[in-house]
Amino acid sequence: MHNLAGFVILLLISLGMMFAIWAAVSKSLQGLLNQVVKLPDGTAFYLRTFLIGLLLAAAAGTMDTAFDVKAGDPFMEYVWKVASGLHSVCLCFFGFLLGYLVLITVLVAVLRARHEQ
Amino acid sequence: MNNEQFLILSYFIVGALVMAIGLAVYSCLHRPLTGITLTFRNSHLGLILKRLFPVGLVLPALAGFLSVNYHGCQRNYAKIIADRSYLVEKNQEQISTACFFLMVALLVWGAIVLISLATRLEDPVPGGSGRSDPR
Repeated sequence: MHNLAGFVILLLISLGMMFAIWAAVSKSLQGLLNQVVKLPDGTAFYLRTFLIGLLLAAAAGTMDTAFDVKAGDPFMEYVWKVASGLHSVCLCFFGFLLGYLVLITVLVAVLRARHEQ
Repeated sequence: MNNEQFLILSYFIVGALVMAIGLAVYSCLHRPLTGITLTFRNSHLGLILKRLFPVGLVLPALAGFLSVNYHGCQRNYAKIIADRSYLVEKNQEQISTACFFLMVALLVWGAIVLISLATRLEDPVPGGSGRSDPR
């Protein structure tokens, strides 16, 4: 039961981080895509890819952590387990954001050069 | 339910779940992708991308699921089914790896669509089939 509670806490923190990133970036990203892609479907595709990618990163990081703390273990064991899970989640977010940033930078460079021709 | 039954049931349930995740991602993205392919100069390229898109999402998810090895640390079958927590841990690892592979596949598809966008018509029909707001 304690392990399940730890897993749920880790999942909630991961989803909170995901929504924080989404809330911070989505408006500017939508504006940028509207300017560069100039195609509503293109904007929708890349925005949805970003949201789904964040969700998958959160799921991959959370599910990577096995909660096997014994019932009598001290409270800090649970905290360390959640921290270990957050480490995986942060790495997944970092990897995805890095890949997405490179993708969007190339997208902007290629399509802007094409529009200027 | 004994551990061997749990292993068999959970393996196939997680396999189906992983495929369902791949198909859910496809269903979220196929409408905007169809809209994008309508503006391509070469209609065959659009058709190929549309046909390969579900395969290109479900296969990486399945590959992630199948890449998890139960025989790690010199465990034989008896040792594997002796420990229920090990089985649950492996199920979690399968879902996690599938999500990771799917995330990488999404980035690769983003790059493919980017290259394809460079070949699209200069003045596409406005609107298309998708919306710019993903929510």
